Amino acid sequence: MVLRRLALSAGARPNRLGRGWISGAAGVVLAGGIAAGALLGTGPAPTAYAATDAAPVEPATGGGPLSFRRLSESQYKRSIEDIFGATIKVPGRFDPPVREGGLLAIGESKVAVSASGFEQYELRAREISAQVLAEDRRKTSLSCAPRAPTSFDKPCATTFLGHYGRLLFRRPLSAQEMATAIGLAGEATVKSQNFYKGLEIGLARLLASPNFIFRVERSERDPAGGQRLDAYSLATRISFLLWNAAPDAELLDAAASGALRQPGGVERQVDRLIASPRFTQGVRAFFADMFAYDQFDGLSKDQAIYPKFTSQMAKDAQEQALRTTVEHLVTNKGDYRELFTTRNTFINRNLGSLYKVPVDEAAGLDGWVPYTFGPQDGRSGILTLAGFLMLDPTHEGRSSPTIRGKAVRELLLCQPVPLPPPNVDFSAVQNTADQVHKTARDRLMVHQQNPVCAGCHAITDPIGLAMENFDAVGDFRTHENGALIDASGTFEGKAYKDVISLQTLLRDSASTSNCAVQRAYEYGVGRPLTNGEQPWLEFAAMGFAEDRYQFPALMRRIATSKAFQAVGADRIASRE
Amino acid sequence: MHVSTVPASQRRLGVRAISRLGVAALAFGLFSFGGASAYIGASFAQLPGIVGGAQGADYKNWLKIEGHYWKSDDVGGIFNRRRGGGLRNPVFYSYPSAPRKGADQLVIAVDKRSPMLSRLMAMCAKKAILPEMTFAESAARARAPAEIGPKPDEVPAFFEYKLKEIEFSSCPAVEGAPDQAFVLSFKDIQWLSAQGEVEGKEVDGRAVTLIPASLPQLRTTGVTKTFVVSWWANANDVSDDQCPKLNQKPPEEAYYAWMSPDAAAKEREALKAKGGVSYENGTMARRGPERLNVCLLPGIARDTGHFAPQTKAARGIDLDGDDGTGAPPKGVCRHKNYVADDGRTGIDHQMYTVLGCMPGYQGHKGFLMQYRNEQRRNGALSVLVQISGIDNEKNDDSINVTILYSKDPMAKKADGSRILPDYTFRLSEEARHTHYVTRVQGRIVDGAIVTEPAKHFQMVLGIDPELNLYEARMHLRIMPDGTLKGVVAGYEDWRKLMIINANSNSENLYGFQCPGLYQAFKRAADGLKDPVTGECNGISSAYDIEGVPAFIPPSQQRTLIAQAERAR
Repeated sequence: MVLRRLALSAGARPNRLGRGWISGAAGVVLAGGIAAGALLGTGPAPTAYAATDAAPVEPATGGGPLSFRRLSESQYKRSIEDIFGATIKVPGRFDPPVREGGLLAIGESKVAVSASGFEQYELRAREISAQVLAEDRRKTSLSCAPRAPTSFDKPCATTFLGHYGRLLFRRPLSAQEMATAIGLAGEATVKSQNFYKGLEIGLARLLASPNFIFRVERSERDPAGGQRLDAYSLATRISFLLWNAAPDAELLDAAASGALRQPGGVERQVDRLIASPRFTQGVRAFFADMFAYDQFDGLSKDQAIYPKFTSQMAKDAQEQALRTTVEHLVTNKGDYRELFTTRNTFINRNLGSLYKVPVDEAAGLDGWVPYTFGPQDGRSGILTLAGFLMLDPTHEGRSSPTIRGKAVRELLLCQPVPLPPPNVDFSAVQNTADQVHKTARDRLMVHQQNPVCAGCHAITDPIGLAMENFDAVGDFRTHENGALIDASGTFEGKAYKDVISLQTLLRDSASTSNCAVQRAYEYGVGRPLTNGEQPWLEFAAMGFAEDRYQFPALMRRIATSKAFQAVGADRIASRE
Repeated sequence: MHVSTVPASQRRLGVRAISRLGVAALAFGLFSFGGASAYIGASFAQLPGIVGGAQGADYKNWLKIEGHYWKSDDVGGIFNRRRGGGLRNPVFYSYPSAPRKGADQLVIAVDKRSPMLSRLMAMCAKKAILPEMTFAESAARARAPAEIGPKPDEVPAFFEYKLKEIEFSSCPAVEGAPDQAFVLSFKDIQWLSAQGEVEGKEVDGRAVTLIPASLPQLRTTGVTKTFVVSWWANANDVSDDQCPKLNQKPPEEAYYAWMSPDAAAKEREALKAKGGVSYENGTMARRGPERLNVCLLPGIARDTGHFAPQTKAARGIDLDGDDGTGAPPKGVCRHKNYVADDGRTGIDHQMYTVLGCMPGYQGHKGFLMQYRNEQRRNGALSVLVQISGIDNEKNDDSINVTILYSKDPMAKKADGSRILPDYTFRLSEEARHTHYVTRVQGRIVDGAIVTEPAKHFQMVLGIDPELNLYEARMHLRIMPDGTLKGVVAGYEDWRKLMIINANSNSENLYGFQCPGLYQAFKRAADGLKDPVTGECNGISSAYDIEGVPAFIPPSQQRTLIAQAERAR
């Protein structure tokens, strides 16, 4: 109760599923519902329904606003590759992503395109078009040939622009859009006396359009009442959720023909996408967002202190974490919670040196091999992987229990931590050579003597201090400045002695699994949850438990849900 | 005795010098690519009426020759190799560079103490012509120095030739030189037996078959620790003031020493356009009388002197069980004994005596050592040291030390200053590496890993020449920071080292003069004593070895154990 008061006074918002914050009791009316703990909405994980219970009915939600999401750099590039082929180069810089509400996927809904950013899109559009219509590619790019290469062939142009327009906009072009593109292509043909140049201009227009650069969602009337995403918008949402890519031709056809609206139509497409190898890339993209791996870009550590750290090591650490996650959740259909306890991972030569373990010869110089940490290695769970431990862009020369604890709270438990107040004196914490306060724990105790600081640090530091046996790049240590490191603490009222036992508690905490549900849903819809979606979230969390916390099943549940396509009564975009 | 001195400001020739001198020049110098490679060591001639008095087992009573070269082989150019695989294909046993047929000249050096000297001089004075003579040279001495691997059975220990119509063309005398040169011009040569041909076709040599080493028993209990060698070099840097004077290359003036003033002036003019006398292409080496090559035959010139380090201390091992104060033990020639920095006495490291004041060879400071190590660090070869059977890190009466090889590169710190630990190295399965895997027995005494003498210890180290140490031992320590440090020592064939360096390019790069170095080696040789002649053919040598912790893949470790089990 003390911590709850402290957390609330510090401005922390409760976990969406943290009704225990408010009630302190199991107030959930769903059968076998979530038992809410006294602290931070935690407690035992939700239990599955008993066999005798009636299957729960998906609660209605009020839906949410349509989103208008900018394609990320990887989504843009993948779209170009999927539509035009892998040999097309995508030049230019992309505006940096923005993280909002814990996800880049939400941030993409909030960003605008700067003037210089738009210039880059224009540049890319022209250069991509030029490559597509280059002489050596025309045979594959065009399914028709003009009557004469120097004059405008409208039927051929219509076929070309219609085909690619549908793929780029992820829906058929409207009559107006087609007319505009055709008009531009025709004018350009006349001016240049070259039909292909004309097509280039028309294609560039499509590539520079907000309808390509952004995922523009549209709604239609839902026969069951209210509004829902139109079929193309739904196809796009499903595809980006499961593949992190634009819908393929089959999914677009299902939207066009109405098959998506038939009973079982969505399920069929969702099952197809989940069964595809491309589902792996979707899962990677989701967890890269949820675990904030964008912070690996430009990650830097002091090589005088950490000579093994290189940008390649950072990339390898990220790759290890993603491979571990995908292998466990997708290939092995494992329990999401066991990401925090599994000893199974992958390793390459670089990481072998960081973890000080031998690497199987099959890895060679650049490859990866499965690896299982032994009981004596002192590692299990993703919090002991370098991909988590080194991911602190704010400290190049030391580990930060506060940042690590904050990352666990915000990224894995969906529990935001307030920003520090301005003008805080960090000098005591930063003095890693302090021979009186030798360990980070000692230094943070000094810092927490300031009551302004104590509240938030109480939320973050105990968790972060559990990881102090790993330095800023993830190398194991037992001492700091000659003093034995104490990694013990309590989490949700239960004691742990180190990060391994902490992760056992994380595994068993409802906040952990609930946060995965919340994030996956928000990632899919591109916005934070609305209040009206809370019951649905609890329903989904129950389902996650019922599905033994298998992540593909969670994604399926989200993608096939009514909530996923429901549109709120406010902020509806018109169809035309 | 003329010895050149060096200002203190020019004591050290660093790694940057390598780029100035050119990697090609360095490679040229590494394996005496400057024309012929030297033949330093005994060859034998049977001349009619001459009872040479050679005492050894080989060619008893033939005329013993201290060194020789074929005139046609002494040509310039860095990569002008007439034979052999060299660095490009070291797994080869090249034949000597004797001409296959036709006229040529054989230049020989005979010890002035030879009882046949006056007869030979008389023959030279008369320009005597012999109808024929038989000449024999050692295949091992004539082999290209970069090559590795044992002699194939079909290669004879000595190549023999019948020279026809030999004239004693000249015999320039050099007062004070220990050997006398004779230039023998012959009209034709016949290779005896068919060693020079295979199925009627002339061959340069024979392919070598390298078989994986057969290893003794491996200790499989206790702890095993593996290290990758981050530094390997002659243990020749003891202190900054070890050399009040450094050895230097011969001055350019030495090239003109045997010319008349007019001839010298003409020659100077002719060489002006080429930048003066070239060390790189071997021209400088031909500074003997009549343009004879004093690097190929260093005994025919006066001893130019050679500075030795002036320290009592040196790193190394007591190889002969003697501290040098009394009579030398059997099989050993009298020599200076050093004291190690940990107080051990009787340290045998005569290689330090010879190379310690040659800038290129001065251990961590020597740029040849730096170059070789940098090549390894850049992926030429990773050498691994595995210590097995450690039950007690302070004292243990039985451990193994195994030398292994990997083609996987070492990882360096971003600034290149050190090798990073804890990387995994896959063991190479190439014959050129598996042949040289070696294991020795040892023990741990007060934390020091000491190994039993190994009669013949071989290693490859990348671009370095094949290492052959006799009566070799190791003295290693695992330091508090987990790294490995120590020395590997034994006797080396000093003539092989002379062969590698016997060219003017090496004189220039590493700082010495061939005649001085040759005599220094002869004086310093202290081991592998010939029981018949009493001559010491070996020189005690110590190498620094440093290593950082490393791994080999678990499956390959299991294979090593299984192989050792099968060998029991």
